[in-house]
Amino acid sequence: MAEVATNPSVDVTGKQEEVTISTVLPLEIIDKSIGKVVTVLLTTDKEFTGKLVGFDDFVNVVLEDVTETDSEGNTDGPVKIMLLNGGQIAMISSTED
Amino acid sequence: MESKETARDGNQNNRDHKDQRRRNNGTKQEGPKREAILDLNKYKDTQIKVEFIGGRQIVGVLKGFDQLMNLVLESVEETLRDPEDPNVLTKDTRSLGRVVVRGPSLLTISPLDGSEVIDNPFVAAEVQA
Repeated sequence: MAEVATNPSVDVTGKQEEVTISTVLPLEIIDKSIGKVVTVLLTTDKEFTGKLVGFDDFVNVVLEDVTETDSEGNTDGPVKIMLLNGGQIAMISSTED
Repeated sequence: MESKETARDGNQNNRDHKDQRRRNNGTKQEGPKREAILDLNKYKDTQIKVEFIGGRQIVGVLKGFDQLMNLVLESVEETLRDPEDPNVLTKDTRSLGRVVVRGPSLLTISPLDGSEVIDNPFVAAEVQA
């Protein structure tokens, strides 16, 4: 499912390089999810599901057509577009691949 | 003639020093390369349990991570909590698939293998006392 980028030109001495190249980078995954529907799970029990428009280094995210869900399954919205502060984000799950 | 030569050398040296100083001021003083406190490579492709600030708890297969401890997990199952008391975990889980975990809201990471849940050792002690 996750493609591991293998770079044959990496020399054995570049240990640091090896680490960064052989693992899947989290921010890369988020970047690939732009334009797709994602669920953003906060540290509280709130969740936001919507199309990912963009994000920054702090992983503040901009979502489109967002529905907000709480732990009891009550939904709110849809909201056309929103900026969601990254400070409270616990996880971002890509609902589609 | 010779003295002139040395004088010029001296100037050259002086300038080199200045260059050096300027360069040092420009770049931050860096100590030895900072290593991550925990080498997550060891846990790659194994199941780990992650707890978050706020109390969420998930189990998933570690696929990737970065220096800031953001993680990529696959086949993630979130352990649901009792709606009445969020401190109590239920046996129910739900699947989240592939998930990116934000480093800043991480509380604990632990491997699932080699860990086991034990009975509360303090309950018996309390009864005795």
